[in-house]
Amino acid sequence: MAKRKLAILSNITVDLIRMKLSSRFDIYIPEGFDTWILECLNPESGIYTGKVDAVVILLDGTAASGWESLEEAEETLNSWKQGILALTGNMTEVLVFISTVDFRLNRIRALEERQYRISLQNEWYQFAQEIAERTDNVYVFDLADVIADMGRKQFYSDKMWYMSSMPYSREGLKAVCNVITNLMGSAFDTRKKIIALDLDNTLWGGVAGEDGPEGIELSNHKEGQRFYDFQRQLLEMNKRGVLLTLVSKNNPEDVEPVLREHPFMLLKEEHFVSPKINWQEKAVNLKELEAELNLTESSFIFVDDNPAEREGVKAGCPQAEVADFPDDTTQLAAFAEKLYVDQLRPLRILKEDLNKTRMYQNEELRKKDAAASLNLEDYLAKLEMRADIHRMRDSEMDRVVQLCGKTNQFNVTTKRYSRNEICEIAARPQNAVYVAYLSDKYGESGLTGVVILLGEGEEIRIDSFLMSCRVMGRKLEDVIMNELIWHYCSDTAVFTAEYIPTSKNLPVKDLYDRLGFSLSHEQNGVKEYRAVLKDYQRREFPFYQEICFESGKL
Amino acid sequence: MTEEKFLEFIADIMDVDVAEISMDTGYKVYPEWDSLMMLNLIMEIEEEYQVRIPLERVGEIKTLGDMYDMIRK
Repeated sequence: MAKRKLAILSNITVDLIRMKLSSRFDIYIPEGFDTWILECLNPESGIYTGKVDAVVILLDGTAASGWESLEEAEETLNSWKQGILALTGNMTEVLVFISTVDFRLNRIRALEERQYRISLQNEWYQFAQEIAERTDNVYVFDLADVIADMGRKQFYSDKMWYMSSMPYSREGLKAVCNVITNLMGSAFDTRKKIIALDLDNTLWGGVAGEDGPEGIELSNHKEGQRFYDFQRQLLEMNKRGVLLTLVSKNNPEDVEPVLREHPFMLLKEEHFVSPKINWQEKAVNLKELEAELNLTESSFIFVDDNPAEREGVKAGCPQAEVADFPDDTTQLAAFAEKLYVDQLRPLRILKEDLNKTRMYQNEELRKKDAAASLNLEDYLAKLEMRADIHRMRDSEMDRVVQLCGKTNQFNVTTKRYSRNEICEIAARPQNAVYVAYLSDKYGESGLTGVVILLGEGEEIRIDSFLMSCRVMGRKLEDVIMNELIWHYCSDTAVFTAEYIPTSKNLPVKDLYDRLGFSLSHEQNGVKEYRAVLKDYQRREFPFYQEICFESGKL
Repeated sequence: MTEEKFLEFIADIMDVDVAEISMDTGYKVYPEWDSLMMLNLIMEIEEEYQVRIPLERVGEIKTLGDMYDMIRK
């Protein structure tokens, strides 16, 4: 795969960062020292013409020790702000990451003389955060916190500063490269989705089956707190959309009392999807989870204190990430944080991500309904489904972009659109972007379907048709197309559509055949379809409790 | 520390084949060894061998042999 092109804009010399990261990224740096503001202001500069994928603005506060007064500091900050406003005004597609700043004021001065450090730091953060909140492609990253975490003595090197106008030590440089790599990972790599956890000696100390609920190590102080804190970290991730499950070799009756009643068990049954507490091989359990949850093996992280179990999973599920459980369990909380930052953290968390655990749990309940049903329609009727289909509203745009970006299976053309592209498409009067919501007696699935229609003269082209995998098999695609055809139906109207095969979208290979379109052309697996809408017979879906089209009801 | 180990370490940092360099390899003569690589070498050597190369003495380094002698003392 081609390397991502990344620009680094900085008020220090960053050639060493480029050297250290050159095996992973193609890095662009403007010519000259501290020219980054000019680079931002000049519309012809390399940063705008060089087709970069992301820009990292890495700001250093070492020069602050020479600032005579608050006024001088403000002057510098204002010039930085100018540069950033120009950059973010011009770049509306490319991801921009702005660092926080560690201002290093001269420490010979008394504390009260340099107290404005805190307000400067805060002013800079507020400025960057405000842009990030109103601009879709801009993010802030906390460089100052990375420095605080390591400690200035370790992070900086005066020798490097004098020799190269780059004040980081070897360790500091490593940390900065790590931060940049993680930002790129969050932006461009697929994130892990679920952590499969062992219980004994992982979520608590000791063995529940032998030591009993009172005998295990788990408390909110001293030694037992290391497991309590680990659970708290996992709970924080869970609140941000990371799924948790259990894969434990145990008798369910031994661990249930702990899960339900232990006073310091922060993670409870409600936080886990499809827990596997049995004596099966863990790799077998993971395979079952993949199928049950409709997740790929590569979306799993496996956490277990037992090296033999870890080896078993590595061999049986080679795509899953098997985490290096710390030998020293006082490191569990830090270990969890690293897992999150390196492999799970998304760039931005959307409302839809927050209820993920509940959605997957509801899916389990639906499967139980399905098992007790005579046939598909009988099952679907039991779900008491309600669908709402309407034109995309502005507030729904982020979710539409997210779905376009990550939907692989039910996606007929797999076109990835940026927020701006979606904006442009929706702004043209001949086009329309429709979204679909599904809910049932178990809860809301949220915005899970997107259809992009492009008006081309008399014909309407279905440019994209995609649905989240969690609502597949619910006939929602039939409902959506029925409503759209009925809406656009006239004597002359024609829908055209296309199926472009990928390695993952086999489930929709014959979607348009099933929906009654006729195949007009086929080449290299790409299938072109047409449907004449005249005399369309509107279909009924008795197993849906309610279908709303453009009513704004739900 | 042997000369051999030292050269292996340097080759690793320069990301070149160890056979390509020797104690006579010259600063700004060997293309991989420019001023940026000099910085990188000093940074990595100070960590690996737990030494400090004073800024005053960096100018004396003309070959890898000079560097080796400096950190051996």
